[in-house]
Amino acid sequence: MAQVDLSQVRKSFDRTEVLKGIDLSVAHGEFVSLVGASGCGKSTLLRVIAGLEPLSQGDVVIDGRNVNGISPSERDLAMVFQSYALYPHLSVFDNIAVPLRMRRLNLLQRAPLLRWLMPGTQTTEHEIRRDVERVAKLLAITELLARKPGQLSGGQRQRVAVGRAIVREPKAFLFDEPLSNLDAKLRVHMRAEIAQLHRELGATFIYVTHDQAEAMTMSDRVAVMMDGGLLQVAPPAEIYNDPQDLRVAEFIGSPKINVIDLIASGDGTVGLNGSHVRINAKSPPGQRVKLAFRPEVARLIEPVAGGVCGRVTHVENLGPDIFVHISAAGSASPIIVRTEPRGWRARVGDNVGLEIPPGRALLFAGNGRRLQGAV
Amino acid sequence: MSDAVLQIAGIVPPQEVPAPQGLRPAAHRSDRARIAAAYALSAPALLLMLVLVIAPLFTVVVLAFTDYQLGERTLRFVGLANFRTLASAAVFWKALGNTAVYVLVVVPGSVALGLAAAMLIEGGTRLKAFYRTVMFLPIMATLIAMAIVWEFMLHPTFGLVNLALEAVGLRGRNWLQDGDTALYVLAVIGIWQQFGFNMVLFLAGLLSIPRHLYEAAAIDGARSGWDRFCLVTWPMLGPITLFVAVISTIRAFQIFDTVQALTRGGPNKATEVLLYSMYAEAFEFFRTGYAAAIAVVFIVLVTMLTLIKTNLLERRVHY
Repeated sequence: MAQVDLSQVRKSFDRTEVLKGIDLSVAHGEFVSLVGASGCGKSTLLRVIAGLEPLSQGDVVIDGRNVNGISPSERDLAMVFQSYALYPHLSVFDNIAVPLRMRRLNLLQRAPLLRWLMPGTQTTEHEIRRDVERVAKLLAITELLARKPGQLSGGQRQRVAVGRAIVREPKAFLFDEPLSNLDAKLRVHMRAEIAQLHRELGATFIYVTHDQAEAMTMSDRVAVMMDGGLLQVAPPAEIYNDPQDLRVAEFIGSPKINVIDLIASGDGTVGLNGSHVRINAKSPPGQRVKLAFRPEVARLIEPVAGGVCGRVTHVENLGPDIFVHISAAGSASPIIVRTEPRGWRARVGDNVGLEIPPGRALLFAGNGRRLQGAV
Repeated sequence: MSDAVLQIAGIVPPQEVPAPQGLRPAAHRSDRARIAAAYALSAPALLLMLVLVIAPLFTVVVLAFTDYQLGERTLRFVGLANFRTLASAAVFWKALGNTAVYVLVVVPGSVALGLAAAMLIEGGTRLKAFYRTVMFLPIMATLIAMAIVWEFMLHPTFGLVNLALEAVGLRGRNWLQDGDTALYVLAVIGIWQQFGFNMVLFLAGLLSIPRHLYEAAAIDGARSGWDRFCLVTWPMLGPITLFVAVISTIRAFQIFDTVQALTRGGPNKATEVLLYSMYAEAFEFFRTGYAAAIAVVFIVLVTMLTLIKTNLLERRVHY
């Protein structure tokens, strides 16, 4: 278990800057997800922490020790790769035993055949067997120990990769999109298992994913990355309800948050569909602002003059929720509103009004920064 | 390689798909037409194989049981007489032993050197293409011509090798005329000639090893290059290494050109090898039947190697 601190971490490949000064502190036993669209630098950041990529500038500090320039094997971290990276020629048992053998046995004790002549090999191998079997039991893969990775399903390989990571009780665990090669059903299942594993081990987890659901459901804190920088690091609820940047608001949440472009007038109001809505934020007149609200915040009402209204273009029935797509002025993409299956059912072609309860909509400046104050 | 070649050449006959029960006769007919078309399409390759490979092979085996001499108009079947003569001929056993020694030196040498060269090139950053080309050159050059170059280099008085040894205070030898060294010198030339080919195969093999396995190894605590080699490179190269070893062995068994150009089996039969014996018997002493018997022994040895490869080893290196 360890604390991982990153300060001003920069990484460039040739002239392209992939990480642009990342500051992040992960506490003992914390589960932090790095989430962002592909190409945002989240995997590179994880590889920098692991030591697989040298950083260009900045510091990586693990447990108070600066590990810049220290090889991955010396950092005492474990990593689960997206492709699992299991050794195809070794059985499941041997795959899980590799990190133990590498650390507990010396070069001669690992040499083929000769190893059994070396003093201590027998006892150490005995301990290794005990540890591997303990981990196998924890992950329910005991009956797979004799098999080769090629004979396993995706989910089983994933467990073996996790087993190889947890067997030696490292300082921190790094996960690089470990679930992205699994089918949707298994992914949901493994999500719960990894969260459970984190509770049992109480270890530091840094988890990279492009799937916001994984980030939101498992983590203590979510770090949203974009274009090589961290936009916001906060607990899932805060990321969802109180995003500090429009890009965070747009990335997290499905369906996507609704955004309406508005122009502020000087008197603290914004023009909306011909009416003026009072906002608390101070913005210079003529400035473009963006009003954003989650699909479940708004309510459908009868169209009222001066309010936000539009025409229903599409209705999606998901069972527990019904998403109503509304085309309205000021919004390029349709506004999506969640409604309950009970009660009033909107139909395609209906003219509807929108009601946003006070204090529930978010206001962003034209550059995407959050404007404090509510609508 | 042999089975792959057979498949490419279309020799392995198309599998007949049994027609499912209860199909109408029309479907049956179209099936038969398809099978006929498949045979028709593979016929040219089959014919070539028959004329160029199977028929000569058959002829050699038949000749091995006759007393045929090159240029004679008649021949007589003599049963196993040729093989009996072989078994009692000291020269044959000497040739077999020399061939074995040659193979045992050249195969490990050219495989190890090929792997080492491939790993150095792959691990390097600059001039990769240059090194690749330079080390591949021996395989492209005509071995007979290169053998003459080697002969000059190994010349006892003005050869480069002895001059270099004298420069550092060592005494040179008459390498090719010394019974103790001649065979090993030929083996060194064999390694020099073969390792570039092995290197290219290993280079391809190295490229196909997934990068993330090395990363996993680094995380798992593999500190040194030796650790990485043992944990990832060597096992992942298993299938390629087997292939390279078998190809190298078969090629080493075929040693003939350097012997013919440099030593002609001498001094005192020290470099007498199987194929050279066969050549000498067939085209210098015209004992074709006897030479055919040597050829049969050679074919049996090489076939055994291929069988060992496909049946025994392949099961252990594939995962």
